[in-house]
Amino acid sequence: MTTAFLPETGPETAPTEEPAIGTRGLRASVRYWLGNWKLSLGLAMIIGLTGFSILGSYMVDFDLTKVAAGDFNARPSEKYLLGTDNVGRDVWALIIHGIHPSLKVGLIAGVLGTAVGVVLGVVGGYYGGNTDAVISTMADIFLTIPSLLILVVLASYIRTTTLEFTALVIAIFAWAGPTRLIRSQTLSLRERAFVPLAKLSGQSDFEIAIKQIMPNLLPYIMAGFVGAVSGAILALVGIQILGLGPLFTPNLGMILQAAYEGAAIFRGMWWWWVPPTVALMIIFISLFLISLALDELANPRLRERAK
Amino acid sequence: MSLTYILRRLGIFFLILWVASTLNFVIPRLAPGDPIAALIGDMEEQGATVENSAELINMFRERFGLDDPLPIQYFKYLAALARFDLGYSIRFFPATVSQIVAAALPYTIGLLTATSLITFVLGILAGALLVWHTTPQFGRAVITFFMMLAPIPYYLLAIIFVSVLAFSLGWFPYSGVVSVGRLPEEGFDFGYIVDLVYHSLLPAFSIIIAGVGGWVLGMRGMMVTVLGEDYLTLAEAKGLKDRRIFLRYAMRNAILPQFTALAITLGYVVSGATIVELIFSYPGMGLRLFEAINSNDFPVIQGITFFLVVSIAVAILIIDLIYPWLDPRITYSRK
Amino acid sequence: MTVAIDSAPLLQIENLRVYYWTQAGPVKAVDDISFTINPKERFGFIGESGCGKTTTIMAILRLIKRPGRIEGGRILLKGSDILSLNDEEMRQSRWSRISLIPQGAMNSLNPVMRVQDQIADAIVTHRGAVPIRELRERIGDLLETVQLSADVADMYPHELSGGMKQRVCIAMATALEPELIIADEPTSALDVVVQKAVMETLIGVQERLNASMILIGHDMGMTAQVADRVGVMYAGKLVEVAGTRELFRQPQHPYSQALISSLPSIREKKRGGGIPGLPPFLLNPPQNCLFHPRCPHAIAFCRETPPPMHRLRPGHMTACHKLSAPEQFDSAGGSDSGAGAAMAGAGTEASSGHQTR
Ligand SMILES: Nc1ncnc2c1ncn2[C@@H]1O[C@H](COP(=O)(O)OP(=O)(O)OP(=O)(O)O)[C@@H](O)[C@H]1O
Ligand code: SF4
Ligand SMILES: [Mg+2]
Repeated sequence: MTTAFLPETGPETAPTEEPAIGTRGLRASVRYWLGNWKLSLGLAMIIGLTGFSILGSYMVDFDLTKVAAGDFNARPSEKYLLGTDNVGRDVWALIIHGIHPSLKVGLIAGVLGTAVGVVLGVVGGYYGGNTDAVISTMADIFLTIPSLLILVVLASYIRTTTLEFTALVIAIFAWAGPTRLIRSQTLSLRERAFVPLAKLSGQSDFEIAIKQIMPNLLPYIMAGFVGAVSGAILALVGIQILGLGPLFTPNLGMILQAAYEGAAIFRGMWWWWVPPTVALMIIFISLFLISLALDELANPRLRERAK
Repeated sequence: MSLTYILRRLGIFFLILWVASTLNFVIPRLAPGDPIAALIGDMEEQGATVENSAELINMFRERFGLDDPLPIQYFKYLAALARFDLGYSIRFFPATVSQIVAAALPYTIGLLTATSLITFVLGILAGALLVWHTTPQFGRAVITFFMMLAPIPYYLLAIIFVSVLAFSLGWFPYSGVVSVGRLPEEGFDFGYIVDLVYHSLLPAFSIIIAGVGGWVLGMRGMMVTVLGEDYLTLAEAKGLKDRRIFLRYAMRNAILPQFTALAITLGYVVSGATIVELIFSYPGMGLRLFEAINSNDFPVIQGITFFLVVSIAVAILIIDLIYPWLDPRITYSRK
Repeated sequence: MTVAIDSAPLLQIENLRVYYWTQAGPVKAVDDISFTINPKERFGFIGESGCGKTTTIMAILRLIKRPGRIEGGRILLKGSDILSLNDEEMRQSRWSRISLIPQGAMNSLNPVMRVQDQIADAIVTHRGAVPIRELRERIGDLLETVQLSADVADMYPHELSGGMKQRVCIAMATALEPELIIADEPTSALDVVVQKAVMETLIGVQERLNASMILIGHDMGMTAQVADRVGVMYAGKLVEVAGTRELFRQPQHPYSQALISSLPSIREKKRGGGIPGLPPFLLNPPQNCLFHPRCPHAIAFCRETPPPMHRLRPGHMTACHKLSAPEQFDSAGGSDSGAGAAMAGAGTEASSGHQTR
């Protein structure tokens, strides 16, 4: 009788030490995420905009985005859906051909920045010590020095001619944010019970990093990525408005800059400056909604409570 | 506060300065050829005539010893920086970069220090109230709306404001810092100040409204964490009044990480709000930077950049040094 | 026993229910429990982790947070129901009448306030402004009653050891001389030597104030030593209430028996007793007697009918059919096969649990 009453490990330790996304919670989280309006709305907005731009590119002639392709300063009409600018470019065509390159810059810089960030962050957070000190100090410095200005200085020397090159330049600053985020999360994951356990069971550091830590970092990696994309697009627009980007590849920053230079506001040419402004707002707000949703995934306490 | 702590912070301070100034040194030299001659060549190519170009080139050569080997150039450069000698503007030669900075700085600091502080206070309070249990539903909705503006760059708002409030409705002036031709009179000129503030309102609004959301977001996150802490439960169990718990227990703790961000923001003040200043033709650092970029006035670009880095580094150093006073735990843990 | 039956009880809990409305459904953390606490009495609560002890006492302070809600019942403090107080009245009775030494006392002090200010906060809120000098003196005295030097008043929480923080919490809890002190595992985060000293301090202070005390503890040895009466909780239900000596000598409910018989083997006082099987998942609990899946005596009747709280003797209550309806067990003849399987499974679980320790 008494042998059956031997003490066992308290069951209460199990749930709290469980990985953030355990297999048990997976289905529940999927269900939760389908119902999260921020995620669905954000994704719908960004996917819709991308689709609109890519599909539109096949339907709207690219030549319309060239100087003197149409009348100058034309109001919106049947011929020019969103009018033309002061050098005869069709704004509707500019927008359609300008959205996806802007997103592409965000994507390139975002992917590069996040990839570097994940590697450095995991290495720094997992190994600690001097490696970590160097990595996190560098990331801190890159986060505090004014990246846009340095980019401006860089861009003013290396007059960038292609958007891809601009994206690479932007990527120089895109890694610091994700690195810091991933590093701090790795650090706290390392402390949690399942990592030492995996160590005891003889898994190598690499295996642990891939099998134990990575899955739990996923929401943070995604959040870092979304942040990097958004930051890169912001930087692109900034560089463009300052007149340092490629001037003839359509993109949202370039349209906005042309509108500013052409005094669109004061000439009442709303069709020129409103569309790029709205498109940029949709991009920034949708990415923001997605990152809010990811925050909630990583930190359930932020979730809206059922009333 | 331990000595190690201070030394460590000072170390980081100099490290930031060093990295930034080295970048500033290296980048121009990545371009092939003599940087100064190339610059002036560039400008002449574009049709600009640079007066005294020979004199200018010589001045630079001499000052920076451009014929010296690179390491020596580098040390001369650092030495000049240490004296805040940022060289001459190419466009406004013989004006020095420091003079140009000094002329623009008061406007920028006036506009941005005020707006940054207002934004901070509003954002912090709103963010804390957003997750506080007594906040009415309507208040939450308003705060959430402003939070949703967080990702929108302030210049997009500025464009919209100028278009609607200044251009269409004519409620505000849309450019300049005072009315055209208005000069301050002798002594205390109240009307001038009113004019100045009036001209700053619209840029200020766009900066504040676009900026509040970011603080709301950060504060909300910290508040949610703090609200889950045991000391909050105990404060409530103690029967303290709601307002006291909110201010002294919840906000007081949640605000700590925000101070670092505030310091960085204040450090950024000297860079001006480039694009907003551009849109409103506000003669601050941002506008000067823009002009410098457009006229390839590299010494000014670099000077402003360097000046900004110094200002940010100083701000971070200051916050790091007063942080132990804000958070008593820092003294011990040193990080 | 020191149970003062004739004097009016200080606290009466009647049919209290507290549910947490999680996304997956209600968690019945406290489900229809009733008990009383007499003046000057020390009432101990025992039960496995997650059985609802903290929820019960937080309900007494009306500090249940969303998604939790008090669903019903009455909490009578000296005869008046605190659930009917408005928020301001409730705020005023917190601490001045009922104070708390919280479960996470390690983290219960505001890290950016000096100890003195935190204690003063409680005093000034309820008693109005007091001259600084007087306040300092009072706080110094309070700290002395918990064997701390008056200098502690000027320190920040991070400058104190765990035991010191715990003592500060005790000093704070007694600052307004409340009628009831609730101590939620006041010593569980401390090492053994300090535990004993802190507990002695706590008891000393409580006796000096003539206050009643609710004491929650995982350490049943400690509870057995200090409590006058003990309530055993299981999965949101109170299954047995009795005088301490009686309960520990002759536990009547099968769960209490299991809990108490496991006592000697866990002298190192790990959390949780050594009871085979897991405590029920409260989202989807077993029906009627919640203990039946783990109970060696369970019969079909236990699964079909909820056991009522039954008075065995004056001052000894328990909720088990075996005690209230023994005739059912004669006809059923022996234990249920389901429970036997649970026991067998538990044996292996228990031994594997032993290894990881
Ligand atoms: N905020 C909450 N949301 C959902 N369920 C909760 C919440 N807080 C507690 N519970 C549930 O209520 C039950 C009782 O919890 P409670 O904290 O009262 O247990 P306890 O007996 O104090 O445990 P311990 O000994 O570990 O302190 C648990 O099953 C727990 O899962
Ligand atoms: S009622 Fe039945 S199952 Fe419940 S404790 Fe008593 S004997 Fe066991
Ligand atoms: Mg508890």
